[in-house]
Amino acid sequence: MMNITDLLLRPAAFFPGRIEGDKPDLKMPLVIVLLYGIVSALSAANVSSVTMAMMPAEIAGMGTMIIGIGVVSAFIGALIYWVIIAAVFHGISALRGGKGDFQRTLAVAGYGALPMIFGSILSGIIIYFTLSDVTIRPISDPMQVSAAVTELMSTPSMQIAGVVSLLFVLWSANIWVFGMQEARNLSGKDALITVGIPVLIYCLMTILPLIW
Amino acid sequence: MTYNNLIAALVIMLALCAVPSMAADPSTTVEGQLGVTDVAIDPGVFMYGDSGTVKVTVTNTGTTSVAIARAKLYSNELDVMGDENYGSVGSIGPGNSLQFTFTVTADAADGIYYPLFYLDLRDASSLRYRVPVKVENTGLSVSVTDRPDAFTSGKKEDITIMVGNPRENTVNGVVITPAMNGYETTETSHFIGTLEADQAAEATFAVTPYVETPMEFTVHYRNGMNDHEVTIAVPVIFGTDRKQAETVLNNIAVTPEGDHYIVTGDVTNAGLEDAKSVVVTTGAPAVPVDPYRSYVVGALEPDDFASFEVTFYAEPETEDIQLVTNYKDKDGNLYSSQLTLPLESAAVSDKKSPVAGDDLPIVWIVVVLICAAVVAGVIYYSWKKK
Repeated sequence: MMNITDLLLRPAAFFPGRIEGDKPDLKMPLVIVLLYGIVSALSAANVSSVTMAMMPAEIAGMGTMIIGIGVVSAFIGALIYWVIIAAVFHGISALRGGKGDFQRTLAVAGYGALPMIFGSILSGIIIYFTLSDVTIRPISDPMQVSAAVTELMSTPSMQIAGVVSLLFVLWSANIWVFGMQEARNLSGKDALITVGIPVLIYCLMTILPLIW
Repeated sequence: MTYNNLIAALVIMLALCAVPSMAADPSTTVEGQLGVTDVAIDPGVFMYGDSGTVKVTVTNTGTTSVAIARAKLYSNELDVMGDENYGSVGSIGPGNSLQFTFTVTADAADGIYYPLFYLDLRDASSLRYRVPVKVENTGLSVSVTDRPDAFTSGKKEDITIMVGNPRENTVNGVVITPAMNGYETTETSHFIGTLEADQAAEATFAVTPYVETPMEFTVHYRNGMNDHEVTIAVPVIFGTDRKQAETVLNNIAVTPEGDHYIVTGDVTNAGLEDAKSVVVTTGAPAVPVDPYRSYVVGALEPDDFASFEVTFYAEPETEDIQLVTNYKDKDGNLYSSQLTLPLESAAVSDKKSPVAGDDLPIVWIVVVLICAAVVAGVIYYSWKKK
């Protein structure tokens, strides 16, 4: 039985014994990733409905289909991100002398996604209240929709949502560091480098657009 | 006295009676001393009902005085007055002239009449002279030579009136007076004065109509000492002047900016006259706000254009606003046109809640700080309990 408290607060004590053998059990990491996908899909549905409200009347009839595409994309995207994150961690750790099967890294990446669920929920709430307070009017020129969405997403309230998500990514990174030590038999320094490089790049990609 | 003597006496008496009848030949007397040397008629041509004077000048060309008993002017068609003044004239010396003036009123149809001037001499002879008097009832000709294509209520326009004199005589005291029946004029009247036969004169009035009633212009003139008038009416129907300036708005873009909107575009003068003092602003339900409550474009020549930018606030549920363009013509008349502009924009905030474009809400900052503290605490705790 998974001890969530240990996973969130004491990952150093959670992972030993949890990732045994070359083929660890991935059911629980998969559940976490799926939950993350559901939360992301709900948030995407909210933003997509706002985008569709800006569309001209002749395109608005396709709203349900476009919103559906956004929801499915967000859900499937969570699964794809899971694999990509694991691959990146696995690759960098290999350069630092890491050993162990990819499935072990995949398990660590899945467990570590748990704080990101909380972050998505919180940022989703912020986005929901932000969008519920704005008046949406259709735009006749579809070319202006993109600019309008960009303008909407660059508002302070929406940026706050991005910062909140980023904080919980740092929480996940902390879990990944301890998990990669166990999964790939790395030193603390190597694990820190393995997780730190991609997370740092992700943070910069998120923060720099907010500054400029 | 025998029958033959009686016949002879009668023949002599008839011969004596024939002498005065020979003196009735115009402008001569029996003695051949008196003659009519001048006739002056004023006005030269009478109109129906006109009164005027007929002056006859008689000159004694002989060497002895001629006694005159009375002078009269006889006419069956015209009314003649003033001949009672010549009931006892006296005598006219050799080489002298006498002028006899009679008042004539033309209560007759158009035509030429010949009143008889009769001078009764004391020596049982007389002088007779026919005076031709013309009566012609044709008045002055009045026409409109220039007027606008269409009138606009409150817009000043020029109307040119031409007055012509088709009569054989000169008329004087010609004055054109506009009637103030629903419009204003800069000139209250225009004095032309004397108009010779077959001459014409023009006068231009700047008029500003307010109702669709015909404008009336009355021409007053005098034929001799008699006042006459003729009136012309200019129909007024309000419409659009085909030459007037016309402002057209193009390339309009509405951009939300914070809690208000910015409208940019071009204004073009598509008319044939200059548009002066062109101003673009917004009308209800939009509320103009700084920095461009209204945008003064200035003068626009025909086919010229200029850019504008106005800012306004509109309630969130507002769907359409009015874009108002004002301009003036060369006379200062104000024109206004409106364009309905749909608000097709992305997102504009309600002022009552913390949303897009507003300052960063405090509640969200607190959330970030709490999250940051929690995450930092967790990371610290996890490393401490390693």
